[in-house]
Amino acid sequence: MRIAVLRNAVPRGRTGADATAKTLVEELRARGHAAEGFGIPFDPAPGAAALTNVLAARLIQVQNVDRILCLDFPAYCVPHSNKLVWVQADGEAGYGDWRRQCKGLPETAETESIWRALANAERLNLLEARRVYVDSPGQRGRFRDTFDITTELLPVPSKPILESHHKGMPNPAWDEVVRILTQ
Amino acid sequence: MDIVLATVSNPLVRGGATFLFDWLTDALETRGHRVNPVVIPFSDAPDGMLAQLLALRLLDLSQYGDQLITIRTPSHLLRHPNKRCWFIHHFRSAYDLWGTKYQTLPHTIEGSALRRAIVSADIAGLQESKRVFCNSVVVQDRLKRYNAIHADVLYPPLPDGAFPGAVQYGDFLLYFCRLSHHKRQWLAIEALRHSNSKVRLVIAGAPDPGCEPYVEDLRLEVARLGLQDRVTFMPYWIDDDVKQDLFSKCLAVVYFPFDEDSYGYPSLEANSFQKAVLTTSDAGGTIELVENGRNGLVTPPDPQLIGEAMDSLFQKPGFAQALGVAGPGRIRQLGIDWDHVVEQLTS
Repeated sequence: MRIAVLRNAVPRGRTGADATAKTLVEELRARGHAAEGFGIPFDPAPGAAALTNVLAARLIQVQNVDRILCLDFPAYCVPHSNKLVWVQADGEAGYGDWRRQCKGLPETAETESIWRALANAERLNLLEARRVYVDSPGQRGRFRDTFDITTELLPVPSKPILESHHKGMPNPAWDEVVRILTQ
Repeated sequence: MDIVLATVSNPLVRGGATFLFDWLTDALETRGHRVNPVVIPFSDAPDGMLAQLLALRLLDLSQYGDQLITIRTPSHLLRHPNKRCWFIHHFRSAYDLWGTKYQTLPHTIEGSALRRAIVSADIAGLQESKRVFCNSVVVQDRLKRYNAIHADVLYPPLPDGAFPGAVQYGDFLLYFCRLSHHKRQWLAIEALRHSNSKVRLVIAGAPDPGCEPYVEDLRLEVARLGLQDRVTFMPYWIDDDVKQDLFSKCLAVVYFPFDEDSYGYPSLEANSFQKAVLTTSDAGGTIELVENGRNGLVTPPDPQLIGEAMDSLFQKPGFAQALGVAGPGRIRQLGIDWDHVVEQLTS
C-alpha cells in the first residue's frame, strides 16, 4: 500500500508525534509498504491564527497515495478519500498546547467563536475519516463527550527495540499497529 | 542558529529536490545549526493548484526558527521575516515548457489564467525573500527573464562522504535517472543504433508517476531496433549499493535531458566517480558542469553524432578514463561543496 503519514509541524522543536510518525513510516516500509512522512504547520500561539492553519490544512492536496494516516489536529483536516486518523496524546503536537494557552485568555465573543469554529472543524474532519483511533482511554472519552464520535483504542507500542533488531527490519512490537492501520 | 527548512513534495516521488533537502538538513546540523525540517505534501496536478498556492501563502512560519530556508517551488510562498530561497526550478509547465510538447497545464483560457497566477505568486514569494539562490545559470536566467528576480548561483553538492573508492572502466554506458520522456532515454537508444562498436547501454531508474507507458515504449523501441543484446533495463528504484556498483564499473555516463534546470545529480555523481559525462548541447544546466573534451563530451542532440561519441569513448584506449579523472577537479573548480553552501545560506 502507498501511504502518506501526516502530523503537525510545530515551531522550534520536534514532538512526540514526530517520533511516532518517524517510527510508523519505518515500520510500514519494513513491511513492504511505500510510506513517507509529512508535516502540516500548526502554530499553537493563542488566537485566531489557528483557524488560518486549519484552513491551510484543508486546502492541501495529497495525491499518488492509496491512504493517508493522520496523527493530530489539524493534520487530519487534509482531505483524502481514504483517510485514517490515529490521534496522538494531546499537548505533544501543538493543538493541545493551543487549547491550554487559550484557556488562560479572557472569555470574549471572539474567543468563543474561535473555539466553536475549531471544534466544528475537528468534528467534521473526524467524520470524514474512515476510522478514528486514539492512543489513550482519556482521548476516547474526549472524542465521545465532545464530538459524539466513537473511536478505537490503539496505543503506541512502548516495547523497546531489541538489541538484535536491525534497521530496516520490522519490529514485532509494531505488528498489530501496522496490521490495523493497513487493513 | 534555529533554522526552519521547508519544502513541498509529491508523496513517494524521490528526486533531486528531496535529496537536496535531506542532504542540506545534515549539512546544516553537522555545522552546528538546529534544523526544524518541514515537508508539506503538494500535487503538481493543475486541478487544485490554486488552492494549494493559497494554503502555502496562509502559513506563517515566523515562530518556527530564526530563519526560513525554502527549497522546492512553491515553498517560497511560506511567510517568514527572514526568508532565504534556494530555488531549484520553476513549475516549468507555466514557464519555459509552456507551448512545448512537455506542457502539462491545459492550453485553455483556464490554463492560461492558472499560468499567470503561478507566475504572480512566484514573484510575490520571491520578492519578499532576503536572498534568492538558485542551482544553475539556467535557472538564474529564467528567474531574471520571467520573474525579474536576481538570484545567486549556488551549486548543490553531493552528500558529505559520498565519494567512492576504486573505480573500473567497463564496457557499458550508464544512463542513471528517473524515467521520463524529457530525460530522453529514447535519444540514447536512438544513438546506440548509430554506434558501430559493441558498447552496451544500461538504463536505470524508476519511472515518474504516470510514465509507465514511456518505459514500455522504450522497450518496444529497443526490440524494433534489434538492440536487446546491447541494452539492459533496470526500471525501478535502485538501492545505493547497486547504484554505487553501476557508477564504479561503467565506462562513462550518458545524460541527455532536455534543457535541464541544473547539471543534474547523475552528471555530478559521474564526475565524482571519475567517469566522463556524454551529454548534448541542449541539455541546459548539464553543460555548466561538463566541458567538451575536459571532463566529458558535448555533442549536438543528433543520434548519429551521439553514436559516434559513444564509439570514441569505447574504442579510443584510455579516452573515457582520461576525461573521467578530470571530473573531481572540475567539481572543485566550481566550488561545489557544503561549507560554501551553508555559509551562503546562513550569512
